[in-house]
Amino acid sequence: MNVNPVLEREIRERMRGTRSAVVLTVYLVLLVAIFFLVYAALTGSSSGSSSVAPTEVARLGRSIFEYVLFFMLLLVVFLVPGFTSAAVAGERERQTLIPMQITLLRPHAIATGKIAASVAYLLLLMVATAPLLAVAYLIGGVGLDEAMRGLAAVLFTGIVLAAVTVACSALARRVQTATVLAYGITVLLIFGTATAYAALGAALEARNPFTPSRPPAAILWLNPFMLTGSVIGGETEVPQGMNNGFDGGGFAFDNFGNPIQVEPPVNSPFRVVHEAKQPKVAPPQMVGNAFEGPVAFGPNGQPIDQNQDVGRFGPDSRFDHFTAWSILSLVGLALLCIWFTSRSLRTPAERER
Amino acid sequence: MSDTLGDIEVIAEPVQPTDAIRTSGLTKQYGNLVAVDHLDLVVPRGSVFGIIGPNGAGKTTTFAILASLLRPTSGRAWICGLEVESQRYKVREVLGFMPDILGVYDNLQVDEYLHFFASSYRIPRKERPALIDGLLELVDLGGKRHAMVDSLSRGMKQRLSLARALVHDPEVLILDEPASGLDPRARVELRELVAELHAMGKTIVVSSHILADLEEMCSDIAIMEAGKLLASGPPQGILDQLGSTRTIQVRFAGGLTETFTTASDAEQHQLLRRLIEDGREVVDFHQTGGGLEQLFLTVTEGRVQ
Repeated sequence: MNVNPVLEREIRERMRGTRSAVVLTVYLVLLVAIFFLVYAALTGSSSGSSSVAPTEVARLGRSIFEYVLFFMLLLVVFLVPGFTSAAVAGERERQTLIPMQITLLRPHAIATGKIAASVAYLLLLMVATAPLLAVAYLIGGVGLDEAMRGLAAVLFTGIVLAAVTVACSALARRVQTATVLAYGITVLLIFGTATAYAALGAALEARNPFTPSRPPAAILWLNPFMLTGSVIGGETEVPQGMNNGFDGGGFAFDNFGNPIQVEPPVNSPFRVVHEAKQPKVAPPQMVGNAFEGPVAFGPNGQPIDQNQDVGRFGPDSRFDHFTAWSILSLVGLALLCIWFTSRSLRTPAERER
Repeated sequence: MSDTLGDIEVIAEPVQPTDAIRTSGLTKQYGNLVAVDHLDLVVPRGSVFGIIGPNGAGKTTTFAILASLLRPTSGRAWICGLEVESQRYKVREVLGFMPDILGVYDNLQVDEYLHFFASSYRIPRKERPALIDGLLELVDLGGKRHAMVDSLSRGMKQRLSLARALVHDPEVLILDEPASGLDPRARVELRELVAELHAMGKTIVVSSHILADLEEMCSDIAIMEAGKLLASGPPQGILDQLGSTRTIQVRFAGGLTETFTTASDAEQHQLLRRLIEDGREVVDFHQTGGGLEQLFLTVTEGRVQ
């Protein structure tokens, strides 16, 4: 079996350094700390009596799951560009790129090897934190398939960001430039899309306050938080047997055709995701929420930060097949990045780079 | 010379089987700067071919084109009969290139470093350990097998770099400034290594701006300046062809020193005979600044800006 030579070498190099171990430790410690904080905050707020309703426990488990997944995604989003940005620019700086380019390695093999090396390390981080999600699973309120889907969404986000960062690294001459560029694009994907969506929503509402049209969902396709929120589906899961298991908030209503949401929303960092997909109702109410997460990112927070009775209005058709479109557009972005990286590594070139 | 032909397309001489490298009207332009200017270079198979020229003469650019890293503005190049641009992956199989830079990885061992390049050249995994053993022995780094690459001395990195260029057993080897930054001992070792590779039947192209480095190891010399080839061939052949003069320093008894110039061996012999017949007490009679240095200065005379 032939392993990609670049991948093999990168893994050797990366795993030998102390930095990898340090990053892994910090990442793990942070997520565990978040886990405990969330747990303490949520159990403290709900009445701490010994006899808690099963639905209450399920909601707690669900919340913990969503918070852990949320912060996992947040850390991944901010770690991946950091440990990937040296991919090509670092080789340029150390002058190791040319010896590699004159071998029989094809440019796309270098590009995919670099991305795979980052993803391999990301996998290590995720495997290390998987037990935290398992605890949430034990508490209840989350299905195994949902947990897997959540993890898959985080991993997928990591792969896309690795591809984006490698492309930045191929474009830049220096690692520093590549890092700034990669974080810039990451911030744009997350906060840029959300801000654009919110701003456009506000503008449309200002123009026509009575029957405002709403911004296209396509703006949010490239947003990894939207994707992850969408993939884990509903806000509430009632323990099996008490209800029909799933009820679909988020994306689930497409698959299950069961859009009615009767439970009050779970305390979730992804609430903003679910809410973005629901039609607006006035007047807006802010939700008391200890962990606002990215909820605050809109310029005025207005269009996406509202709590509402979703049941009355049903799903928003603009978000039909949101997950599919989101995955498709992110895959497109990643492929574009791989193509760009390969192109910039192609020889003979007009200039030595 | 081809540069006098201007832009007229010259029909390339067919590539001969005895050519290791041939270029035809090879030109590389960066904006207004012409780095390589209609270069017609022929490197015979089995030679140790030295390319001399000052910094910026276009040696490194020429090598980058030959290694299919750079696209020439015009002209073509062949290595072992393979066209560099259109058959680049085949060219890479027969060409070993050691750039003038010593890029090495952190956190990688010497053997892992070679392992990486062996796999990049698609050498089957089970053949790699024996190959790496042989290479490390050849470049005398056997004892450093498990050392970290970035902990090696400059001379060792240079030899490791050479081992890397040899991983796929190329027919032609291009070494760009291999002796730069090496101490005298490392230079001697490098020279011995080149001799050994030559004995193995490889064609070796070596560039330098330090003439003494090339003087002892090259069978053929090319002199480059400002992207142009000024002369090419065996060193003595170029000297004779150019009718260049030699400087002879003669020391007489009593400490008197005089300088003479001669153009050939015959003239040099005549000079010595005349001095002795004149009854001068010659104590020392030797050629100064001869060989390559003289050749280089003669050829580039008046052209250096």
